[in-house]
Amino acid sequence: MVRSPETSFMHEWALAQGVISTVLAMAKEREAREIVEVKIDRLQQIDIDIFSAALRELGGTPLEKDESEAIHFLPELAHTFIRCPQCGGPDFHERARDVDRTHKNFKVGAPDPRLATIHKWLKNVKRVQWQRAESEKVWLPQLFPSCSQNSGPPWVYWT
Amino acid sequence: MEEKGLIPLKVHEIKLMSVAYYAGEKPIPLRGPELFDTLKGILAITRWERTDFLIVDAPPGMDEEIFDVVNLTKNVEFLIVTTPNSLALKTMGRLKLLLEMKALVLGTIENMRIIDTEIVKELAQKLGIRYLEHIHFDREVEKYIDNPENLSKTRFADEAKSILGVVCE
Repeated sequence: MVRSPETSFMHEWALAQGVISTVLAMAKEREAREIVEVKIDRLQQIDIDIFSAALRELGGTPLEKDESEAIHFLPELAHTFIRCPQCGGPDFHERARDVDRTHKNFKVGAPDPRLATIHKWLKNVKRVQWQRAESEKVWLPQLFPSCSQNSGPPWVYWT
Repeated sequence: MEEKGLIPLKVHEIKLMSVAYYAGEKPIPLRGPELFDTLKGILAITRWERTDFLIVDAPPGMDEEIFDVVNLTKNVEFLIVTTPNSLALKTMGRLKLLLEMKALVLGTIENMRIIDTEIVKELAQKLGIRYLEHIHFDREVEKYIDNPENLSKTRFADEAKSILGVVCE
């Protein structure tokens, strides 16, 4: 079967995503603190260069502590500290809040209790992983908290 | 601390909070809805405690931040600051929309006046907005922009103080 370059690209990236998700799940199950080496058996019809690049990019972009804290308090600051791995630009879609924008009882000065919940989820944001939307030409970041209690990415940044 | 909010920076008894404290020198490229969320976030997570005034320094013009402030805060009052510059005055003219929205406008301050002119006062009168006073262009401001202590001793500070006295009445 001859695959078009675009299909091949997606294949390697999808595989890389699968590998990372599996490894992270196993690490969590075993309560591992550090993933040292991932051994991947012989792969067929895989472009190793693309696959390696995908693993690097999808493996996460480490954030500095103050960057992590800034995003923790104001998730929109993701655009300040994070860049799209493909184009290097700050223009990506993200949705960090699940707050009703038309909420009428919002009071200035009174911390919105819902924000406290959101902040808990974004606490200790350490790494950023990217996922390419199937239907979009944009890279969409998923922020993965490092908290071991997390059962999965609580926020999927989506259009 | 996180459940109760952030304590703002305090300089000479004035509390300050800005998204720039987190971004530093880096740009903050945000699209429309994100601006609203950022403004709401800053207002919500900051522990202002009891204050006489909460001043929101908005960008020039009539952008959505103005609507956000009107929607998010009760008893909001607008203070227009303009320079006697034709482009700035065109923008000031468009702030007539605030009056149409029945927003309370405290008045207008003419800033950075270099030559004696009534142009701002005349426009304010035409719009039905109170002309508060003018502040002269003061070169010392640029020199002491990072030094609140010396900044407070400039002519600019004296003139601003007397205007604020009028505003607070």
